[in-house]
Amino acid sequence: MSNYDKIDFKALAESTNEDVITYSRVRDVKLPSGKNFALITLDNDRDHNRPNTLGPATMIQLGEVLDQLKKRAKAGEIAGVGITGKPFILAAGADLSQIQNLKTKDQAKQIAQLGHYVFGKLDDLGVPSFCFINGLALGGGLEIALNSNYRTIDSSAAAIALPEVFLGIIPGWGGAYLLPNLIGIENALKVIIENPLKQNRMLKPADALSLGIADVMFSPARFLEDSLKWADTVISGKVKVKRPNEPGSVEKLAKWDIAINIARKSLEGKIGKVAKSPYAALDLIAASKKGTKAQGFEREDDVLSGTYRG
Amino acid sequence: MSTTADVFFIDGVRTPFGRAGEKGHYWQTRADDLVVKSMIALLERNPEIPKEAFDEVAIAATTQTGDQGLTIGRTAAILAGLPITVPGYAIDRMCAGAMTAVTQTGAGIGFGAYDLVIAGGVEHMGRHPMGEGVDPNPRFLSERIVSQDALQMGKTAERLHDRYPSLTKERADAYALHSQQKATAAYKAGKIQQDMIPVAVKSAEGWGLADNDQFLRPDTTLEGLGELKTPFRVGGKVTAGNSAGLTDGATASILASGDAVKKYGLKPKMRMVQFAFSGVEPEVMGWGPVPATDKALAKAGLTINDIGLFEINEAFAVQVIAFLEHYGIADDDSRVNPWGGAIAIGHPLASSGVRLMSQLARHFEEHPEVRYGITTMCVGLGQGGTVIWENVNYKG
Repeated sequence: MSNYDKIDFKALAESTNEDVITYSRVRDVKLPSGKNFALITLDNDRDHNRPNTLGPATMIQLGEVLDQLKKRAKAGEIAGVGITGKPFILAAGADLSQIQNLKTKDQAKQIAQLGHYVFGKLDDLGVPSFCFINGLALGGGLEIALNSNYRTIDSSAAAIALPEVFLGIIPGWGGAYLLPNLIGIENALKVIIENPLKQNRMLKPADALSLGIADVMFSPARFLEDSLKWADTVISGKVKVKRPNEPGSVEKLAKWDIAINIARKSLEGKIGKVAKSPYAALDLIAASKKGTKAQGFEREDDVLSGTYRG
Repeated sequence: MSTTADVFFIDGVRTPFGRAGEKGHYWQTRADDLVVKSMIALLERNPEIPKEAFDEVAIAATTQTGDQGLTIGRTAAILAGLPITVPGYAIDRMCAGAMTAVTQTGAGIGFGAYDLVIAGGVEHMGRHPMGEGVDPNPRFLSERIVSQDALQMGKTAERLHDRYPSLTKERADAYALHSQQKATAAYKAGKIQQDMIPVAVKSAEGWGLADNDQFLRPDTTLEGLGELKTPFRVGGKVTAGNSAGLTDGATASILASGDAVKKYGLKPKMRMVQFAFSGVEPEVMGWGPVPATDKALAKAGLTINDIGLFEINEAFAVQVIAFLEHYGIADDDSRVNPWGGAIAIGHPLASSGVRLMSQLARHFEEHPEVRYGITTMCVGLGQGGTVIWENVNYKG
């Protein structure tokens, strides 16, 4: 198993020279019940025309913030952690301008590992984590949400998608493992493979809600207030979150492989075998039916570096 | 066929009140968003009222420009998700804006034209400092129609001290301290929070949640108050400590006719008995509540002795103690502003009137032995406004 703690990501950050950092800022807010809650805001201090992106320096900083919050959770200072974006934008994904600057396959792998290392912390804080999807959430942006324990979504969010396959890569920060395990095989195939190949079709917030990507949807005028109130009821146990399409063992046994085979045949018929990433994504989704999250993340590390074309 | 109707105060909410300026809660929050969020929370608290049943939305703002302009009652109604069939308009009577929104729409209910209304106000004094864009007619000064002091509220408060030498700085400071202490106690008991709706706010440190009034100073002392500067006059009496600070905030309330109360099974908190506005010399505008209260009482056939609870806006301590002295009420009378006032809580001009009403309604709940109460406030350019309310919980 990869020990992400042992990897030094600093060199990656230096070599990619990210020009616009998305800062992870934290403010404590008091929930209606009186509990203390740490709210992270992702903001690159630019307007919505320059969406938040997630380069190595951004990711390292987010990781440090999450480490501090884990300590605070252990000390009993916070009962939960939320993460949200600047107005209209959660995050538009990895900083692709930097991806192009990668020099080696090794660095490509480190990008994947860094994502898993940092986002994985969202599931290891000692307190529940929430992503408040307040706006555009693409690729790594959506994977922040998928790595969180719970998700709310703003009904006016512009678009929700994992467009990686459209770009010739794969969702490599947890998406290919977490999404099928959250919304079931057929839905995951649609979001990860079908939609990107249909001129990069994206989801509307209501779609994300009905698929089970978001647990609850709120209107924009009081989105954050309502999200915090809802988080409070989840933390206190008043609300039990039910995931409509979360696959059980029966689905995994009965449907998983069949759905993968159908999707594979359909892909071969439509686009042939030259494009690599749809099949790489398909294999990852196929494998996501068993094993641990750590194994799923490791597979993504290997596959993402495999799609690196130098 | 319209008939005269009872006018009931159903519910009122407000945002936490923030300090105007960069250190305030709402430096990066729009004024219209403040009142819209208040309205949405108010509607959510009263789900038995169908949204299309509202006949009017009256929202007050003193500076009606930018995010407080564009006929804010109408824009706020749309942004709050009310159906487009619900009309709205903007109101301005400076500090008594929200109070006027309540009296005008309340009068409309009384006349039979409305059954359900939303009345409120907003003032973002950080985004819209007092006097922004004003252009007073030069005649005011050239013809000595008003004194130069009339346009600066702090100076009018100094003038009120001048006029009544018994209203000393010591009394004003003691009153201010008491206001802070009462508000602190009410906060600790969770009373003030009952009608306060937290607001998500953007800041340099990311998103946060405003859930407290920023002017509250539980550690206020008489000595500390005594040391503050008197910015309006050298050796004056009016300080930042014995007056309300520059504040951002919004309020919203629902009023209903007796018919609407029955139809929707609403639980009224108080009934509007009478109201009055009255003008006074602009340079002592703080005196306004006295003639307004006299006028309202006379119209209602009541006397000051019938009033068991007072919510008086504390623009300046001197203006409150002038009122109290006139009616022979002690500065620390427990019937007056039981949870403190604007000195501790803040005074976002055109929104304060509804805060007084929400608080009076809560006092009525706690005091079924009291039948009548008033909300009263002074207004820039020399006015006062008073609304008399009857406690629906009254058990005589």
